[in-house]
Amino acid sequence: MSKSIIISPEVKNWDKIYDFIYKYFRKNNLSQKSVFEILISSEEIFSNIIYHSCTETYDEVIISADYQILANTASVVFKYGGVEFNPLKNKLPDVSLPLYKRRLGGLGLLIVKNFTDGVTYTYSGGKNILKISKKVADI
Amino acid sequence: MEFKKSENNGVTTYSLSGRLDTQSAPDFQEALDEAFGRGENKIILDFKNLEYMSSAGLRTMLYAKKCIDEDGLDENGAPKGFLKLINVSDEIMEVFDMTGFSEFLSINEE
Repeated sequence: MSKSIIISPEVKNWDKIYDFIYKYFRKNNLSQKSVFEILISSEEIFSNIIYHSCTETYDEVIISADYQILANTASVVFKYGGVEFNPLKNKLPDVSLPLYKRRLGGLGLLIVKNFTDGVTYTYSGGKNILKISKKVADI
Repeated sequence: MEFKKSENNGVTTYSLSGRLDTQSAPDFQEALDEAFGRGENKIILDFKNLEYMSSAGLRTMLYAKKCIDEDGLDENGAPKGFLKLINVSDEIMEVFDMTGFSEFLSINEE
């Protein structure tokens, strides 16, 4: 059964989201490693929401966690207002660049794409909807 | 996240515990900045009790490494300062590897 949390897009709320996601997936017996990877991906998404979509609004963010046992798939859906912004269109950073050519930032999408098996973005009814999903074979 | 600081023979060690994330990274970066301002440039970060690190932590590592490298070389041509990360877990190491940070950071080296 999926569970949801409704929260305002503020950095101080990351702790609550962390606890929500951690407890939900650990309760569903996902491994520590899988939960770590879902958490780090979720934090990158939440940061994007704060800094790119909801910069001038404190509209609510609805975060839903779900685990489908038969498909062995975990997912987290973020539904939020603010500016229409598709983070998947961002350019991935070049990880082969030397230290002095590296920028501070731009790594979030890379992490999400590497630690999940699917990321989708849609904009509908004035809401951004971003979903990450992950196959979790190691439970 | 919490950290304990200790000093030995000009080397400053920060033992981190908890989570280095979007909430805690700015505070830790500020603490490092103050240390750099005092001329501390030989830094060890002990990740033994760090359970989680996101890209916010990566940005702090990148910032710290650049600050220390800016101190340049001594009269023998060796770097004046260093940044070493020790006791990094497999999960956090994967983040460093994936992003290419393990290419320029000293991680879990003797």
